[in-house]
Amino acid sequence: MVTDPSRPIREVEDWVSITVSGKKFANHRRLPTAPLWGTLPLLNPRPLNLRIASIASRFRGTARKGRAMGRPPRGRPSRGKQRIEIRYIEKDESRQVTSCKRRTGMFKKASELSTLCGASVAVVTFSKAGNVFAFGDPSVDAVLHCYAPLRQGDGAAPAPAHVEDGDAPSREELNAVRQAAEQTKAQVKAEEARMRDIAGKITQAKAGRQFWWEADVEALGEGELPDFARALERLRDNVSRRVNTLLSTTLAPPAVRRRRSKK
Amino acid sequence: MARKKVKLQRIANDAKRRTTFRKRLKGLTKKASELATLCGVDTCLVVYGEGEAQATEVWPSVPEATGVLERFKAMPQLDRYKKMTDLEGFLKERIGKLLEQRKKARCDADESETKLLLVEALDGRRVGLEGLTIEQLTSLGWMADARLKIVNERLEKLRGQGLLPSTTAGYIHGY
Repeated sequence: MVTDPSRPIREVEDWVSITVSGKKFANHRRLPTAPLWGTLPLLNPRPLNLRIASIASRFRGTARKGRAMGRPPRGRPSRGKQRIEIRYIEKDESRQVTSCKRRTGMFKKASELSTLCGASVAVVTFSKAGNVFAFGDPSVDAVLHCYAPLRQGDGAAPAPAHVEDGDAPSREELNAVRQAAEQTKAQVKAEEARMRDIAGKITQAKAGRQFWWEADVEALGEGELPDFARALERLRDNVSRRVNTLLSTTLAPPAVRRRRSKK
Repeated sequence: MARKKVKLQRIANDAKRRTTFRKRLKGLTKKASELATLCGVDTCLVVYGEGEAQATEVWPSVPEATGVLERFKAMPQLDRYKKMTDLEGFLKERIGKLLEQRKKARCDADESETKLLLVEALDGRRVGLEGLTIEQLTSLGWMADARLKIVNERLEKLRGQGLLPSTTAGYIHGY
């Protein structure tokens, strides 16, 4: 498998679901065909080209996805909250991103308003491309149905009632969904924190070392590369030896015991 | 702006609920106005307070909002409903997005963990590779393998350019 630097691949496989038999990976197209590793469970089943991709894109002048508005400071996941002037955004990319984010945020606020205060809300937004996005509680139709200027003038408009529809989830169920969302959000934060923690440890481990083992391969000088290659080979062999040891000790004993008891 | 965490359920206290309603309605209108200005898109907002028969708030103004809604109504049904959500749908979408984020974050963190192992192992600080699970070992070996491939590719390229002596005895490098 040749790592293609122009394609930052991101496979989202939940590693908890990986089975030891490796059956999942038989069908996994993106994995390298290295026979040794193809059948064993992986901690992070993703081609290692994030680093290379970012370097390559830097040389080619393309921005990595998610950093369209400029590189964040090193060590920071994003640019953080920025004060922005309320004026039409000229740049297409930024405008698109902003509209998406703000739309979601606005829907969220609208949903909170309706839940907290028992109000009926309808928000309708268009996009530059002409698509419509609408949010409504209890539903867009329900609210607009009562909106007088749109009615054909046939009598008084009713008040939008939060009807207890048999199919619709109750307030309690929705609340539970909300809680689950908050919980997942907390988990995301936890994982990000874990990664920052590990990144710190990596920096510590690299400090004061003679060779930047971790360094961009491109940056290593020609003299260092062969040493690095040898070290990697040694490590890989050690790892495979260790894996075989572990596998043999976990798999062999039952058979051996059975044979002994036959005596 | 989190002074106190608010429980997301209907506020029992009547007075509090009315105040919150006014405040949040103001905030929502502000957001709508910002969105409309920043992105130059038609937006409208219709809010009925609890039990109200008349719309408590229509933004930007009744004629403008009605215009937007007429445009909305004029769209073919499929396009209208494609991106229409109610509370349930919106919350489910949100959870879906968060789950994706969590997966990605977990993946990144796991990869970082493997990187750390690699650095430590190359540093000679993981004698015998004790105490590592099969998953960790496999990922470690896989990462080492991947890097090795990159290094070898680069070596091949350099050898091809004549910048390195070929390890396999062969040509005399030079000009």
